[in-house]
Amino acid sequence: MLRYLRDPNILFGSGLSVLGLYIVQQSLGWVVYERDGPGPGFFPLIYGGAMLFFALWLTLKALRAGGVAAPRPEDELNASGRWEAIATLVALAASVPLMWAFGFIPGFGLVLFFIIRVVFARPTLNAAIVATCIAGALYLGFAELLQSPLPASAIWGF
Amino acid sequence: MKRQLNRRHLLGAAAALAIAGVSPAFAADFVPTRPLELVVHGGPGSGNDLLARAVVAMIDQAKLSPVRIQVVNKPGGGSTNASSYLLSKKGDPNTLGIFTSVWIIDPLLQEAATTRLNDLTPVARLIFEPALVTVRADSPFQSLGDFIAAAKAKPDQLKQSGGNASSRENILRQQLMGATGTSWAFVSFPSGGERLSALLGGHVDIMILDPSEATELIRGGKIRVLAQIGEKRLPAFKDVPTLAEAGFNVETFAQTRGILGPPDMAPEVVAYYDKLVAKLVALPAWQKYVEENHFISAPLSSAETRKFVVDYEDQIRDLLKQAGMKVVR
Amino acid sequence: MEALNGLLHGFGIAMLPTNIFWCFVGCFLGTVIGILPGLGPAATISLLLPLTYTMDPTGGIIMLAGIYYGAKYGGSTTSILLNMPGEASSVVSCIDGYQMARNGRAGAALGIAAIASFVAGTVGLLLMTFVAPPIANFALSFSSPEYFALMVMGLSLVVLLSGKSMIKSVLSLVFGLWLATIGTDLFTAQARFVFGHSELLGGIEFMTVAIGIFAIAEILLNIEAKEKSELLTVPKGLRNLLPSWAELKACRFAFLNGSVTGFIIGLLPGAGATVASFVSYGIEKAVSKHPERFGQGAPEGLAAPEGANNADTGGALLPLLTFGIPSGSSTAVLLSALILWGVKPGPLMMTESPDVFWGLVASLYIGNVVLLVMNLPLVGVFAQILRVPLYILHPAILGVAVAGAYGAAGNLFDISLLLIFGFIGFLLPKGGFPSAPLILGFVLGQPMERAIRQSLAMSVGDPIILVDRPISAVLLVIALLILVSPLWRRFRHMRAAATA
Repeated sequence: MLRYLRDPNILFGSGLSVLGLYIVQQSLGWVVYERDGPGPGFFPLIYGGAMLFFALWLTLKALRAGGVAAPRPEDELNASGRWEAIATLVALAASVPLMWAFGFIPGFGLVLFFIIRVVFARPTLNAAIVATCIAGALYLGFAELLQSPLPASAIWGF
Repeated sequence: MKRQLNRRHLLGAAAALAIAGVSPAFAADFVPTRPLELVVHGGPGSGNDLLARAVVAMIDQAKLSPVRIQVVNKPGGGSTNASSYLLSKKGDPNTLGIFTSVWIIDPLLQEAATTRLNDLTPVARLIFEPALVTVRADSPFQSLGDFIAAAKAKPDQLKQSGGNASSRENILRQQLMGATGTSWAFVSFPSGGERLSALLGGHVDIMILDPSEATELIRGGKIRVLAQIGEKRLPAFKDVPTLAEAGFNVETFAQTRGILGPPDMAPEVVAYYDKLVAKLVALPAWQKYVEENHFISAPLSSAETRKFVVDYEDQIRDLLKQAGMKVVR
Repeated sequence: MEALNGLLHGFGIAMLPTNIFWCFVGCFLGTVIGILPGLGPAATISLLLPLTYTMDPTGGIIMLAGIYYGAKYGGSTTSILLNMPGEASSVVSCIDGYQMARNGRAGAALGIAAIASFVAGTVGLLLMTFVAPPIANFALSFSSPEYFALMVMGLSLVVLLSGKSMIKSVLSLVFGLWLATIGTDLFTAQARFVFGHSELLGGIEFMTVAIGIFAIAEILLNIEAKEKSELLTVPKGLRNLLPSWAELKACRFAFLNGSVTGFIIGLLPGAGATVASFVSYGIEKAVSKHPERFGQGAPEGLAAPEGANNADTGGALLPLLTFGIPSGSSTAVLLSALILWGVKPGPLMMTESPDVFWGLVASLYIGNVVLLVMNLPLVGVFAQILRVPLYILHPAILGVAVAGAYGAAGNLFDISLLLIFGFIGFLLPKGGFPSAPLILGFVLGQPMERAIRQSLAMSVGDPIILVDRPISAVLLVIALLILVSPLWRRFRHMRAAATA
C-alpha cells in the first residue's frame, strides 16, 4: 500500500479524478443545452470529462507500473527544508486573521518577523528591524503613495 | 451669585441651542472619506459603463464629491454578479452601483437570480432611454418589415446581437417574434463593444441598441437605423418610424437607469447621495449629456424610486407573460 | 500618403515641449505601476483622469496613453528578476526571463525585454499608421467562431509548454480551465463552483492566480531547497549586463514574430495582450531549431512575448479610435476620457479631430523612444535588486504580493486565495506538473467558453459553424499543426538518425 501512496502520479491522478467527477456531476445539474444555445453546464461538462479521462489514465498507468518501491533519496535530503517551506506558508495563512485584527503593519510585520527569525534564522534584533522596515515601506508605498488600500484593523480601524 | 448662576444658565442654554441647531447639519451628516466605488454590470464600453464614466466625470468636473469615484466593472450573469457584489457590501456607505431594467428583469426570469432591486437600496432614478433598431449600412434590409419578412422566409437563419436573456433587446425580440410568428437567433455578448463588432462585421443581422452607444457610428455611416422604440420620434431621428408607425403593435417598455447602493444603507448616507444626485442633474453638463445621448432625464428621489421599481416590475411581468416567457417570481 | 501627412502633422503637435513633457510623465508613471503588481493601468488612468480636465485634450490623452503602454513595458521587470508578473500581460515573460536571470543573465534579460518592447511597439505603430483602414476591417471579420478557433489554437500551445509528460500538461491546463469557470456564469445567473463563498461570485482575479503560482511558489521552493545564501549571480561591469551580440541575434525572428502576432491579436477586442504573448511564445517555440532551450532561459522565449505585449498597443488603439470600441478596461477609460473632452472616437475622428488623433499617434512613437531611453540605463540599477540578501528580498516579495492581491480585490479573502495558489504552485513540481499550462488554461478559459456558446447560439446548435468559416478554418489548421509538431520533430529526428 505504501508503495502506491508514495507515488505522486497516483496521488495527483486520483485527486484530479475526484475533482473531474465532481465537475461533471455539478455541470449535469445545470442547463447544458437549451433552445437559445448552450447553457452554463456545457463547457464544464466538456473539460470536466477531459479531466476525469486523463486523471484516470494517469492513475491507472502508475498503478500498473507498481508504485514507488522506496522513498527517493532526494526527498530525504529536503525534509527539513520542506518543513520550513510549510512553516512559511502557515505563517502567511496566520497573517490573514492577524491583519484582520491588527491591521497591515502590526499583523503582517509579525508574520515577517517570524519568517525572518525562524525560517531564515537571523538574529532576533536584525529580524525585528527588517520586518518593521519592510512592512512600513509597503505601507508607505501602497497605501500612501499609490492610494491602493491595505487591510485595516477590525479593532482600531487602520 | 444669582447673576452668576443666571449667566451660567444662559451660557448652558446657548450651548445647548448651538448643539441642537448644529447637530442635524454636522454630527449626523455623512460625508464620504474613502474613494467611492461605482459598480457597473456591463463590460467596458457597454451603455452602463459609458453612463457611469460620464456621471463620474461630471461629478469630478463640478467638484461635487470630496472623494474620487472609481468605476468597477462586474460583468457576468446579466446583473447578478454586480448585484451579489453589492449584496456582499451590506451597509457600506462607499459603494454604489448603476442599475438598469435588467436588474429588475433578471430575478423575474431566472431562479438563480435571487437579489431583487428593492432588496438593495435604490438611491435615484436618473433617465429613461429610447432604443434604435439598427443594421449594418450595407444590409439589404431597408425597413423592419424587410427584416421580419426575411425572418419568415428563413426561420432561425437571421441573428440578433445583444446583452443577456433578460435584456430589453431580447424581450423585444421575443415580443416581435410572438407578434409576427417568426423566429431568429439571439447571440449574447457581455460587452457592448463585442455586440457592435458583431454587427459591423456582418456576423449578426440586426441589433437593438441605445442611441448613446452608436451615435458616432450612425453619423459615420457605418450603421443604419430602421426603427425607433419609444412613444414618439426622437428629434435627432425625425425620419425614422417608431415601432407602431412601422406597423408593429408591440407594447414596449422604457429602459430605465439609475443609481443604487448596498442593502441597509443608513438614512443619512442615502440623504447625502440624494443631495448629490440632485446637484448632478441640475448641472448644465447633465442637460447637455442627456441631449447628446437622446436620453429622457427622469430623476426621482430614493423613496420615489423604491415605489417606481414596484410598479415597473409589475408592468414588465405582464409584458413578459404576454410574450410567452417563463416568469419565476 | 495621407497617413504620412497626418503623421507629420501629428509630430508637429507631439513634439511641442509641453506634450513631450506629458508623454514623459505618462511613460514614467506607467513604468512604475507596471513594476508593482496589483495596481493596474486602468485604475491609475481613472485615478489621474480628474487631473487632466484642465489640460488640453491632446496633452491629456498623450499622458494617459503613456500610462497604458508604459505599464506593459514595466511589467516585465519583476517577471524577470523575481518571477513575479507585474502586469497580467507579463506572465509569459516569467517563463524564460526568470530562467535567464537564474543563469546570471538578469541584465541581458532586462535589456532584451526593453529592446523587444521598443522594436515590436514601433512596428505595431507603423502597421497601425499605414495599414489602418484594411486592417480595421480585418479585425471586424473576427466573431465568435473565429475567437473560438483562436482559443483552440491557444490551447494547442500546451504541447509546446509541456515538460516530460503530455498527460500532466493537459491536466494542468484543464485545471486552469476549471479555475476560470469559478464564479457567476457570464450569460445566466448560475453560480458555479463557489462553495458558498460570495467573494468567489465575481470569479478569481488573474493576478491572484499568477502571483500565487509563480512568485509565492518560487519562494517556497527556494526555501525548501535551502537556497538561502545567494540565489542569483549578477555579473559586474556594464558590458556584462547588456545582452550579447549572440543573444540579440537569436532574437531576430522573435522581434518580427512578436510585432506581427501582438499587433494582429491586439486588434481583436475579445483577445487581449496576455493571449497575444502566449501565442507569440508558442509560435517562437514551434519554429525554433532548439525548442529544448525554451523554459531554460532562451532569449528569444523572452523577446517574443515581451514584443507581442507591446505591439498589442498599436492594435488595440485602432478599434478604439476608428470605431469607438474598447478592448479592455484601460482602453475603456481612455475612451471615456476622449468623450469627456468632446473628442468622439469613431469613423469621423480622423477628419474631425485630426490634432488629437495624429498627435496621439505621433506621441506613441515618441513614447516608445522615451521608454527605451528611460529603461536601458535602469537595467543596471534593477539588476542590483538581486544583490539584496535573500532574508530581506524574499519577505519583501511576499509582502508586495500580499499587498498587491489585497489592492486588486479589496478583501482579505483574496489573500487566502493567493496563498492557496502559492501552495498549488509549490505542489505542482512535486508531481511533475508544469505550471505554465495552468496559467494558459486560466487565461483562455473564459473567452473560449464565451466563444463556443455564442457560436452555437449563432448557428442554432449546428457545430459546422466552427469550421466552415475561412478564418476559423485556417486557425484550426494551425492548431492542428501545432498539436502534431512534436510528432513531426520526433519523426525528423528518427530520419536524421537513420541516415547518419
